[in-house]
Amino acid sequence: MEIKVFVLPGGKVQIMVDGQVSFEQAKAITDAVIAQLQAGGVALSEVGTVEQHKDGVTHVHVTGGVHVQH
Amino acid sequence: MPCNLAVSITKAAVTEEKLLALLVPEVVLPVVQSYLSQPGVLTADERANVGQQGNRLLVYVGSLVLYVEGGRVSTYATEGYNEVRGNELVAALSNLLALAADALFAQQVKAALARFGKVGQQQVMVDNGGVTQAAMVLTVKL
Repeated sequence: MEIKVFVLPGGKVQIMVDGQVSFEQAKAITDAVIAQLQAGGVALSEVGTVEQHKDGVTHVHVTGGVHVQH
Repeated sequence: MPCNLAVSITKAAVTEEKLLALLVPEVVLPVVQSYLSQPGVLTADERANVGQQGNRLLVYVGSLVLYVEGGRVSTYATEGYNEVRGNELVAALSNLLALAADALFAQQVKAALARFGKVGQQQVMVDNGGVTQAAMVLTVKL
């Protein structure tokens, strides 16, 4: 399992969890990451809901990277 | 990451105020000094000096004085050469500070993630809703 945090310009992040985990597990991990960021002084004020990737949520794609169609 | 692997995606952000708060004078001063010492930044006739006064930096470039406070750059516009040059320097330093804030923010996020284990980092370009942006990818394997 892997946590990827894309740190974008302007104080934005996108947190992705992948691997052999259920959405519920990924959500729990994401919640733990957000809590840890807050505890570490990253004052996130706008936190979106944890969205299931298969639902077609928009997100960043690495330019030139592997992109498997949704 | 290949899109078939992502299970969940969550977006979050800090406010601009919190982001700019990372740009304390002690951090910004060496960044500005380093930038002004780069070849081509100053004209042959210009000399620069940077000093701290309370929570702000005073950046002297030739006959201009620029003020850096709270992550923002300003100068008193005057007519003629100083106005054009002043605007150039304000724009350049503003861009510099925006990049510095992004870098400091990434460091802060990375430090917080270290609780979960070794954090890998990679600078990438991303397509974010049709906009190409530089981004830092921080990876933790569990």
